[in-house]
Amino acid sequence: MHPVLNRLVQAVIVFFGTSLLVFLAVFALPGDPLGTLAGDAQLTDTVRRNLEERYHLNEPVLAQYGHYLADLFRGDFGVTISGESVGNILANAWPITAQLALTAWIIELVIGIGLGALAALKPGGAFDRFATSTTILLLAVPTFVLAFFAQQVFGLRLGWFPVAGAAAGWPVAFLLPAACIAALGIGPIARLTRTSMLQTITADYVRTARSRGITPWQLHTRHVLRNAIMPVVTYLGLDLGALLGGAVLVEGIFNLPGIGRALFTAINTQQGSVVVGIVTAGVFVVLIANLLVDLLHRALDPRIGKETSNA
Amino acid sequence: MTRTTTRPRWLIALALTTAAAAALAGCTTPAASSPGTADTEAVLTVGIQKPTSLIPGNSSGLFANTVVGALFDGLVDYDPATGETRNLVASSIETDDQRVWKIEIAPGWTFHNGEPVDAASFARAWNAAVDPDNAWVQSDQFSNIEGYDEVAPAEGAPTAETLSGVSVDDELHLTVTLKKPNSQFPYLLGRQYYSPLPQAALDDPESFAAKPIGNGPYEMVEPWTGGDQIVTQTYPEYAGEAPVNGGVTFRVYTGNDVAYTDYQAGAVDIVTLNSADIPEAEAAYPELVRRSAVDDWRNYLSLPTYLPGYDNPDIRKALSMAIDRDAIISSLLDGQAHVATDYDIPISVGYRDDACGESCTYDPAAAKALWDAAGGIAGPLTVTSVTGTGREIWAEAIANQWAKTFDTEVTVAQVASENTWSGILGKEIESPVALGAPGNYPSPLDTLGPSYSSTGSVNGSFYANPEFDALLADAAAASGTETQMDLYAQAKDLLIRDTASILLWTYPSTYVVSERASSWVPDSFNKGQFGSVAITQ
Repeated sequence: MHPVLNRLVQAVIVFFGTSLLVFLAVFALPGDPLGTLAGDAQLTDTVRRNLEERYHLNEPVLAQYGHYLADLFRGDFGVTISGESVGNILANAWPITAQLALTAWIIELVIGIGLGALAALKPGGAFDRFATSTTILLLAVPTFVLAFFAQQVFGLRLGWFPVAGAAAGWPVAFLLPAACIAALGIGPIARLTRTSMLQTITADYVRTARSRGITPWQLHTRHVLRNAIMPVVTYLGLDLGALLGGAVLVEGIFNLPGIGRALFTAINTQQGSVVVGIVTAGVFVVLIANLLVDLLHRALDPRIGKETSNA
Repeated sequence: MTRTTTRPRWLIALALTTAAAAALAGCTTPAASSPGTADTEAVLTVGIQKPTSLIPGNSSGLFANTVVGALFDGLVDYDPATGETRNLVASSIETDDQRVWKIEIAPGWTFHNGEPVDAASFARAWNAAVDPDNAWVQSDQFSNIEGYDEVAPAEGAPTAETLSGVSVDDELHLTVTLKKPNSQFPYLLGRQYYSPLPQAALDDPESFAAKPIGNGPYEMVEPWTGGDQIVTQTYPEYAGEAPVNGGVTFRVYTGNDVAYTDYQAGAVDIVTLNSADIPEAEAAYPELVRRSAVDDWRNYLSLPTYLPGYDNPDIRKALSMAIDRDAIISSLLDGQAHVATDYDIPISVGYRDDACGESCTYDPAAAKALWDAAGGIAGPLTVTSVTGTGREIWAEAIANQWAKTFDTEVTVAQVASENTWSGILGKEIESPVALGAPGNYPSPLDTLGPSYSSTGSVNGSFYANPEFDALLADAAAASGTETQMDLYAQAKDLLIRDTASILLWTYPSTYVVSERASSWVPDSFNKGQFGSVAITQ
């Protein structure tokens, strides 16, 4: 089967699986979605009944899931219990999270590969040891601790970045939260790059290239790094899920109105349709990212496509 | 965080923030006027949390009320000093029997789209609020108006489309007939859900929900579809006292703590403080912390009076007398609260400073004697607190004081906030519960009706006393504030005699304001009042 088609089939299976799981999970939460809507108001029985009918809350969970799917196939993401269009929420929130994740990705990539490549130049040297300890430190600090710390120091104390909200726009508003999410990815990327470069450096073709007398700069960028970067590309695809997970936490702390915050609010207020909408959309993004990574792999290493088609 | 990882970011950041600052400077207020002068064009930013709806009849909670209060004006508002109602859009409200209310509307009020505010606009709003097809959350607030059961029957199909008790006599005259007399009806008229609606609200409900058209001092600039700010500007044709600033932008935060961090960064003018942040804010900004002048929150313990032991008023009184409220306030609440002395809330007209007496006074020896004489309750006892409210700290203290006084085991349990009321009213939580409630409108009925009448919607102690119910009915039928308050006082005395729940303390809402908005004074009664804030540069 063509790899793109293969991925699409996977996507459909994953979509049904995750959306049903998430739907059941939200349904299993204790409490009453109408209670959140009412706040300190007292709902009359009539209002309660009408709202339950409108949102199918009085039906069994599988029937509710059926309604949800039926709406979805009509291109309707449904509405929240307070009447907001879920499609609207997603349309407003995704760009924010996309900017956040992209910024985090760039930070990971630049700093991670940079650290790893420099460390690999002189294994065991001072910089290598420094880079290793730095990446361990970054991995050891929980994201929310880092986020509060960064917010206090770089946002409040030094005033370099806004501490809350996306009003300042890209990239200013996103640098600090993105760096906090990226901190988790920098370590693995630096390690991967370093190890992979060290392996590549001893490869035959590198020796050949060196014997032909090209400059060390050309050797490292054109021959070593390009080939060494393959595992890193794979990692970046997988890492998108972690970035989205980090976004849930960091968006809350930095008050960014992205999907992480929307998801947090939706879970808190038991809005199944929003939760499922966000999670399935997230699954699709991860699947698409993995597909892109596959294609990128092929572009970087022509051997891969051949192997698959022979198999 | 280490140097290597931050340095590239700062260099970028430095360049970018300079650029951003230059860009921002272009769109903020015009060139600085001399210090201390008010800028009537300047916009106030106020931190809130996401409102569920901006439609007056379909929204609830402090933050929605704040926004709706800025966009809409009702027939009356509350005197910021005394809490008594005073006419706003109404020019007179009269009744002979507390049942039929003749309301005259002042001419000259308009909605933000130019439609006049008349008797019909109020009738329209109230009919929309009770329409079962709308299923708006505040429907219950209109249930005492005649014809409610025909429009929104508890069972079966509606037999009428509009409230028979609301009749539009002419352009500016409205008559409201209630099912039962309610002398406190004018207090209800000041609540956001009694605000008028323009015809446009019914013609295009969808755009109205995103961009409500009110008659208040501020109008929406753009539709709000759940984004991180709600932008308003001063409505030039506003019929009330003209705002002295250019508008209010409400910034939506996930919590008061995030809003406070943003305040510290200078990005927002007025935020509500969580109690955990108050000490720090007071130390850092001693001149800028603002409290409502009158306490508008109360904490109390509901009691499972349907259980043996708790059904004995002497046991309940002993439990109350065994709590050292002063000690808890000074050691756990940073001295921010005041011992409760009456069964309503200080913002109520008629709240008494000395009514509770010995029942609310710490006296462990007398408490123990009373407890023993009444036979006590076989332990272990439980105090239930609601997760995420911070109340477990003092619930624990109360448990310890009870354990010490009565020489029994007392544990603290937790209940999730969304299950609290269903658990209490369903008799699933068989213990005292640490509760908190804000005042909604400054009448004693606001607390007494829902919390203690036998049909009350949040009567967590299951207090049922026909004598008490009769006094509330008498007060509802009586004319003259003095007579009404006297009857309410008698009703509250019954609650004190019976220790219907355990009163703890009351406390004010606390805010912190920016230098430029330092003229803002919180209003304990009216929400969303920002018109008088002169913004200085």
